[in-house]
Amino acid sequence: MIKSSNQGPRNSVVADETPGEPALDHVAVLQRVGGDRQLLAELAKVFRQHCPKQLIDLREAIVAGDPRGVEHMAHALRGALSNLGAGPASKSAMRLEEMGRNASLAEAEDERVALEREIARAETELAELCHGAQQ
Amino acid sequence: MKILIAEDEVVSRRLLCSFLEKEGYEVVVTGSGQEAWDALQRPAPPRLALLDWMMPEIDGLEICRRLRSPGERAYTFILLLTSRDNKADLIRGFEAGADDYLTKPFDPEELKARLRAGLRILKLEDQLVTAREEMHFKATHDTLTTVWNRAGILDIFKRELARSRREGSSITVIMGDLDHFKEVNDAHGHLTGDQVLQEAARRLVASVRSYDIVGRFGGEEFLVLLLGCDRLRTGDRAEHIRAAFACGEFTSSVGNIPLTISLGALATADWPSRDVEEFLREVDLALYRAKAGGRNRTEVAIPPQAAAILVAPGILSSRRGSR
Repeated sequence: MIKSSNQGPRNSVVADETPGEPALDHVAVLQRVGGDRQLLAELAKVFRQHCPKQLIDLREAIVAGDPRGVEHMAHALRGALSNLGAGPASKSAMRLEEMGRNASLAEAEDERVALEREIARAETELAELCHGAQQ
Repeated sequence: MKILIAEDEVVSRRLLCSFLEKEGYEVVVTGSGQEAWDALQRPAPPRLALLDWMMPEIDGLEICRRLRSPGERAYTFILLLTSRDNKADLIRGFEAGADDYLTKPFDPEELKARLRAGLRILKLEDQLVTAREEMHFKATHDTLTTVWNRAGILDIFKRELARSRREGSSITVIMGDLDHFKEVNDAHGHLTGDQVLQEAARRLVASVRSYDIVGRFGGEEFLVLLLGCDRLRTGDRAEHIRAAFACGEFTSSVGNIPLTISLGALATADWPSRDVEEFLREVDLALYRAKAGGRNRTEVAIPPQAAAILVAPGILSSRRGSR
């Protein structure tokens, strides 16, 4: 298992549980915030506040068969997740966005479940990365 | 430097805001296209704009189009934030009026470099605007006295005449000619003559309201437009200007020089169908009468229909200032 870098023992546990791409690219996200873990903690907090509502809206759009709604919600989630260095979650959101754009929602619900799982992984790692930073 | 962020996604918005504040920008943060458009309509709007492509209601492309529609506004450098990086989309972005684009998630160093390029363009635009304004000033103002030149004041006269007729108001037009200016030039030389012209312009400007117009018509002739001046007060206002002008001798580098002016005046409302050229002819004739009547005087041009009903010759007497 190769992680981007900067991972501690705690990260290895998460990575070992889910083989493949790490949930969070620590190097990229720290670079994006200029090494400012406090800012990163703030971003994580903002994300935690908004994400549940976005996921609900996304699910509702899928249930309602609203491709534009799916595209929009997935796009917003993808933006946030890519800024937070959450590669797999961001890619999952991108797939949902494309499904919305192509008005092809047959596999959207499965992808949404996968997205929620990836977000949960990313949030766990994010919390550990920000550990100690004041919010 | 003010910079606008239009981004509906909260994490990106917070990240951009933090980064730009650290870079020393004054950040105007908006969360939708409508908010961004409103912020761009306020006085002194940001001239750098980071617009997310995809936003509900008004998207980044629409803001680009609106900003690039014809109108009097300072140039806004637009950087589109997009997660779309295929060629067709980028071309759409540029065609809508974007100057540059940045793919999300943004790279801080790349954003910095692109904003520096934006600042260079804005600086160039400022230089062009300043140069254009300087050229416009030079084209419409008299170099020696800095009041409007002939072309400049005639242009204003035409515009204001049309406006006053629409609004049913009057303009008092005053043509003034410095008394004995040729003697000043002959006795003291052209440099002193120039000083006298500068002082004359100063005195005229000082004697009118800030929104009245003073121009050098040519040589030692000045034209003054009193906008919205009641036609019944034309004579009094012109006489006030003449008296203020003759308030004292001018202390030049070669000694004291007496300074007086002869004025011809008229109220445009008294001549309903005349044009600018005709007004200038009439006011010039009145000025000629003021000169012929002994100088340092004001003569008001009386329209023919009014002159016909003034039966007593004495009514058309000129106004003489005290000397």
